[in-house]
Amino acid sequence: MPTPLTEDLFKECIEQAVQKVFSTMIRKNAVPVHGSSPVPTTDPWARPADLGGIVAVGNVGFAGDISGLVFIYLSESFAHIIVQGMLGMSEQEAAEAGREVASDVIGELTNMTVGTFKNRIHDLGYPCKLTIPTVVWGADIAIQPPRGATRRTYIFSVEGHSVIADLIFKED
Amino acid sequence: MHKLLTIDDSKTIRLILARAFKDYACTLVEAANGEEGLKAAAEHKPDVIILDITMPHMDGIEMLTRLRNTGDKTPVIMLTAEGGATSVEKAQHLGVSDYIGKPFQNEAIVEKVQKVIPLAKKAA
Repeated sequence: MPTPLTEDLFKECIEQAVQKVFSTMIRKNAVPVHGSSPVPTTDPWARPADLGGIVAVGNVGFAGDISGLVFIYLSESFAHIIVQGMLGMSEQEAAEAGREVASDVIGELTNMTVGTFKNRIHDLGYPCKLTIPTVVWGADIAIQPPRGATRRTYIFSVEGHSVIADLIFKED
Repeated sequence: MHKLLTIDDSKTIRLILARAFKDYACTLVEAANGEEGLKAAAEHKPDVIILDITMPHMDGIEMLTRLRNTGDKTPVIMLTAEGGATSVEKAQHLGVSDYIGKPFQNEAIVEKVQKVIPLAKKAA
């Protein structure tokens, strides 16, 4: 019998996933700044100031007894810091590695985050499988959830850099 | 010199693994999906395979099934974000030596490999 997925459980699962990935892969703490429990909404979230320019948006979906998409947003400058941390590169090496390497790193970071979140949901009684990650870059990127989908948005601060986890679930 | 085959569609993971094993007496061979992995396994005869599950073209479970069907018993360590109980059970049925979930620390994957082969650090 699956465990009912409450708002507190969603929040706990995504917070644990983001915190585990950032602490393990780049040894940085991700502090939740989204308040006690985001209310499901179809409205877009208010963009933090440091996500006003070019952003990287990683996306991984999951499909099965529960289906959805998770988008991870972070600034271009923070993406380069993550490249340095994950690949052990200097600032210059990360800059020279370019967008292709940064996309792969952010894709993998998203894959790990959504995988950790999904595995917890799976083991609560909702078996599902991950999709291959994709990453897009640009300014003013906004994801419009499909009709009938539920959106939950969680905001983290990692040493002053904002990270948004935007969860969109298909409702049956 | 031991030979490790890493099969992951993420170049990031392949680079992290190359860095994790750079001080050890081994050579790394890379493949980006199950299809390439099967060819590399046949050609290079690795001592250990580090295998992802979710990959385009041919995923890790299919690759491992095909590998075992050829009679190849190379030890395989799964390194994957796909860690739900079902995937882990499926991999265990295919004779996986060990399993490590993403995210992971370099020391953890080195330790898992050392449980399978006597991998030592390079002489200074």
